[in-house]
Amino acid sequence: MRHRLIFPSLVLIPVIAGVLFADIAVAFNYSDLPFLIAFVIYTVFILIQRSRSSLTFSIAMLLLIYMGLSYIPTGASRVTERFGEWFYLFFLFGLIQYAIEIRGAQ
Amino acid sequence: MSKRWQTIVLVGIAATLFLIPNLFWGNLYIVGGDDARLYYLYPLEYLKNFSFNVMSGNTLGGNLGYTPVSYSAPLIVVFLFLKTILPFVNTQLVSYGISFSLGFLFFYLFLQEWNTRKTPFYFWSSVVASLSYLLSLYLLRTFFQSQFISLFLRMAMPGSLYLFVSGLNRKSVSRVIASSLFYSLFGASVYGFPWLLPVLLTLIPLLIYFAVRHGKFFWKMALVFVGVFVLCNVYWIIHYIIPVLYNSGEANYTASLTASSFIQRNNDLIETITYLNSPVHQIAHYLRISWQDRGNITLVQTLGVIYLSVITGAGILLGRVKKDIRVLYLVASSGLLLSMLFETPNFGSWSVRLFQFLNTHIPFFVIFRNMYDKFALAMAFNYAFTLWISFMVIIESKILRPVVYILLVLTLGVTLFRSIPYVSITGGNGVSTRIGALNQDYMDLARYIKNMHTASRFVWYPMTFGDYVYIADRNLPNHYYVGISPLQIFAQASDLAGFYGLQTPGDPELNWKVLGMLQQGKFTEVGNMLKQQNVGYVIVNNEKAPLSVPFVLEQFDFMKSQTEQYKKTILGEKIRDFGSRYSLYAINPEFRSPAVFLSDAEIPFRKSSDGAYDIGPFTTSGKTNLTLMEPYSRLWTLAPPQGTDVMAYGYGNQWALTEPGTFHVKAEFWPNKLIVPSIVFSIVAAVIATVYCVVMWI
Repeated sequence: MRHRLIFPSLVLIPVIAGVLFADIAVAFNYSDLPFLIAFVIYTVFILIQRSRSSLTFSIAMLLLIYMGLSYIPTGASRVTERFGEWFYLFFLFGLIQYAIEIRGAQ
Repeated sequence: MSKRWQTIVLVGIAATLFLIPNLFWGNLYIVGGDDARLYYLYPLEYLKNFSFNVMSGNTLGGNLGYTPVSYSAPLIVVFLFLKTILPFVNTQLVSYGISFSLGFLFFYLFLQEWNTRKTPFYFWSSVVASLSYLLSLYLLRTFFQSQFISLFLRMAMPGSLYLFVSGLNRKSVSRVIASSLFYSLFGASVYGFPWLLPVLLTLIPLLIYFAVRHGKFFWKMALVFVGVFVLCNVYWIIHYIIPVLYNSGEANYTASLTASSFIQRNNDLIETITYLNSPVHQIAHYLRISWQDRGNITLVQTLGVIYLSVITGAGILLGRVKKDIRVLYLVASSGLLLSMLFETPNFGSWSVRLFQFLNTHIPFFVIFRNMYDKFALAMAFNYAFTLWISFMVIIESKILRPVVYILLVLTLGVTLFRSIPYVSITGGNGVSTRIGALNQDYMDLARYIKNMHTASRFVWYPMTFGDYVYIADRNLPNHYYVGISPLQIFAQASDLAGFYGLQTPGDPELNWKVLGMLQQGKFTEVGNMLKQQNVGYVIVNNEKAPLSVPFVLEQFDFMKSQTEQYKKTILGEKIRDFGSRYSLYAINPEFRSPAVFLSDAEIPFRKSSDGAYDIGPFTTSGKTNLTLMEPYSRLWTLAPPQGTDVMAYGYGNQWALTEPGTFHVKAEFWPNKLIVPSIVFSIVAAVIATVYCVVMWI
C-alpha cells in the first residue's frame, strides 16, 4: 500500500509549500492553523516516503536562509518573524523525527 | 598542539578575561540600584548589620515582612576575605574578573567531560564555544547590565555542573559534594534561583540522558547534591519553612507570589513582554531588554545567526557521525529549543498560551514572567553547548578541514565582535553612579543614628519615587550612590526612603494613597501615616537630587509634592546637622508615637539587640490594647501570653489586655532565636563536607 503512495505523495510537497507561503502572505492571519495543517501533511509525507530527519533539517536550513533574505529588505518584519517561527518548528520536528529514528535503530 | 601549549592558551585567555575589568574599567565601585552593591565596599558592615536579619531590619529603605535576606552572605564573606587580604584593590572588579575567567574555564572543563579527543580542532572548538558562552549577549545584556549579585551564576552554574558531571563520570561522590558546596558558595542561593531554575528546566533532556546513562547512581548523586545543599543552606531555608508550618499569617514575598490575583495580572504582562523580542532575535542570538531599546538589530548583531546556521547544518550531517555524538546533539539541541521557547514564547500564539498555562498552574512559575531575563543564562549555556557539539558533528562527518576551521574562526570573530559594545562600561550625562566611598557626612549621620539606640524608624525628606536615596561620593563631584537606602547597613536602623518603601504587607496600596495625600496637600494625614509606621525621626537631605537620574528618583511629581509646607508639617525639633548635607530632626510631636504603647497610655520599654522587647512594668485599670510597632506576624510572642496578636494600623502587632492588673512582659519574634543555631549548623555542615572532599582527593 505504502509503495503505491510514494509517487502520488510527492504532490504533498507543493501543498505544504503552498500552505507555508499562503501563511507568509497573511492568508491565515498569522494564526496557528497553517502550522497544524502543514505539519499534519508533512507527517503523512514522511511516513509514506520514510524520509530521514536530514530532510527536515535541510528544510529548516532553507527557512533560515529565507529568514535572512527577508531580513535584508524588510528588517525584523512580521514576514521575517514568520519565517523564524517556521524555522523553529521544522527544527523541532527534525529533532523529534531524529529521536524516533534513534529509537527505531535500537 | 601539545597539552602544554593548550594549557598556556587557556591560562592566557583566562588571565585576559580577568584583567579586562581590572585594567580598563577604572578603580571606582559600580554601586546603587535595587541591589545597592555596597557589599563590595562595606562587606563587614553588610554582614554584621543586615544580612542575617529576618524580621525587622531586613529591608533596605522599606518593609518586607518575615523574609531572610542572607542569600548573599557566602559571597559577601568571599568579598570580605578579598578586601582583607587585598585592601588596596577594587573588590568588585577583582571578583568580576574572577567570575569572567572562571566562567570560561569551568565551561571549557565541562565540555572536556564529553570530549576524549585531544586534537587541535577539538581544543579550539571548545575554546570558541566557551567564549561564546561567556560573551553571549544573553549574559552581557542581562547579568552584566543589572550587575545583581546573581551575576556570579555565570561562573557558579558551569562550575557546579562541571563538578557534578565529572562526579558522575568518575563515580566520585566527593566531586558531587564539591559541586553542591560550590553552588552554595557562589550561587547567591535563593536569589540565584530565578536564573538557575530555568537552566534546570532546559537541562531536562540532559538530566534524562544522565539518568539513562548512569541509572541509579545518577539518582543517588542527585540526592547527595540536594542533601548537601539543604544542610549547608539551613540558615535561610528554615525561614521559608517556618511561615508554612506555623501559618504565620503575615503577607510576605512567598505568599504574594502564589496569590491568584497576582498570577492573573502577570498573564497579561507575559503577553505584553512576548512582543519585546521577536523570533528573529532568538535566532540571531540577540536580546532586547527594554521598550526603550527600540531600534532594529544592527547588521553586526544579525551575524549571530551563524550559531544556528552551524547547529542546523550539523543536524543535516548527523547521519554521518557516531551514535554517541548523535545522541548528545539531540540532547543539547532539545535544551536549546526549550530555552528559545521560554526565552520569549513567540513561535506562534500556541507558545504564549503554553507559557500562560504554566504560569497559572505551576506554583512560583510567575517568577519567570520577565522571561527574557530569567531564561538568559539558560540560553547562553544551551547555545554554547549545542554549538560545541555541532562542531563535533561537523568535524566527525569528515568535511574538509579548512572549511571547518573557517567556520570556527568566523564564529569566534562574530562572538568577539558582537560582545565589544556591551563589555565596555560607559558613564552617563555627566553624573556617574561609580564611587570610591560614601561621603563623610553620611557616615557621621549613620554613626550618630546607630548610637541613638532607638526603636523608632527614620523617614527621608524628600522621599524619592524609586525608593532610592542619593548620596554623594566622598571626594569626587558628580559621583553619586543612587540606590536603595543603606541606612540599615551602617546604622542598624530602619528607614522609609521613598514611594515603594511606603507599602506595607498589610496595606500594599499605601504608597498610592500617600501620593494622593501629598498631591492634595493633606500633609497632616501623611504625618499620621508616618506615626502609624513607627517613624520617630526625619533625615533632611539638603543636597539637590542628581538631575540625570530623574526617572529613578521622580515620577508622578512625588518629590515635587513634598513641598516646604509638608516639610514644616512633619519636622519637630532639630537634633543636629551633619556637614551641609544632612540634618536630623525629631518628628513633629503631633506625629510621634513610641514603638510600644497602650491604647490610652505610653509605657516603659527597652529593645534588646536581638529584637526582643522588655515591656513594663505597667498597670492597666480596664480593657486596653498593647501595641508593638514592628512588622506584623503571628510569630511575635508575649511572655507571659496575653490574648491573640492582630494587625494594627496595617503594619504592627496588637494584643488585647482584657483584665486590669500590673504587667511586665517580654515580646519577641521567636524565629530570631533560630538565626545563630541555623548559621552554626550550616557552617558545620559545610566544614564537614569540605573536609570529606579534601580527604577523598588527597
